[in-house]
Amino acid sequence: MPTKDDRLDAEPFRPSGSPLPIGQLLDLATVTPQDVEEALDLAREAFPPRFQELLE
Amino acid sequence: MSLNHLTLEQEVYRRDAVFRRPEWEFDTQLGRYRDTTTGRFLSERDALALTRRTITTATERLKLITDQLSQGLLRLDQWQRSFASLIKTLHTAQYIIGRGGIRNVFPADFLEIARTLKAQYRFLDQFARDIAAGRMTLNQVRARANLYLNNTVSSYWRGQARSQAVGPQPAEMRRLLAPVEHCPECITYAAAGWVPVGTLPMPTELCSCRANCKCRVEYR
Repeated sequence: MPTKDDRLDAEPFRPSGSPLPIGQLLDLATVTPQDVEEALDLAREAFPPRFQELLE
Repeated sequence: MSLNHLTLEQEVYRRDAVFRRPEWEFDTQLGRYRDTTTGRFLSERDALALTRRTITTATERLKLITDQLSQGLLRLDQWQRSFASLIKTLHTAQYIIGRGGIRNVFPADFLEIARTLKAQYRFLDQFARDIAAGRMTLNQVRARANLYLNNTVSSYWRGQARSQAVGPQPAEMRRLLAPVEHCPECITYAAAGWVPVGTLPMPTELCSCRANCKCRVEYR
C-alpha cells in the first residue's frame, strides 16, 4: 500500500490559485529599511547568543 | 575533563567564555569581524556557519508556508508572494553578514541586493508556472524551493567582495574547495590558484553544484 510520502512523490501537486503576474513579482525586489529590519530579525533568530550583536 | 577538576584559572576562563558578551566590530581595512574584548577575528568558517544557521531558520519558515500551500490555506500567488519575501529577507541578511554589519550597508548595496532578487524572482516566476501546470509533485516543489534558500550564500560572497573593496584593494583572489564533493567547474576554478580579483565567479555561480556550492573565496 503506498505511503503518504510515496503519494507526494507520485502525484502532481495542484494547489489552488494561479501564479503572481511577473510585474508584481519584480516589484517586490525593491529593498526597503523595513526589509533590512526583517533581515536583521532573521539573523538574530538564527545566531547563537554570542553573535547576536555581530551585525549591529 | 570534568568541570569539577578545573583549576581556578581554568574556571575563570570557562566562566569568561560562557558569560562574557563579545563586542563585535568590523575592521573595514581587513574586511573581517573582530571581538574587541579579545582582539580575536571571527574566522571565515564561523562566518559561513552563521550563514548556514540563517538558511536553516529560513528553511523552517519555508516549510511552514509550503505546508500551508499544500493544505489549501494559501493560494499559489499568496505562497509565491510569501516565498519572494522570505528570499528577500534571507538574501539581505546574507549580504549584510558578508558586508560587515548594518553600519557598512549603503544605498548602493540595496541596489546590488535588488539586482540579485530580480534574477531570482524570474526563476521563481517559472517555478510557479511549473507548479500551476501540474508538472511537479509536492516533494519536488519542496526540494526546488530549498535551492532558492541555499543559493542565498551567493549574497554573502557578494557582500564580502564589496567589503574587500573598502580597505586596501586586494589584487588577487583564489577559490578554496570545501571538504565535500565538487563539480568539475569548481575544481577548475580552484586549480587556477591566485588570479586577479574579478577573474573567478563567486561560489554558486557558473558551476554545476550551483546553489549547493560550498566553496570559499580568499583574497590577498
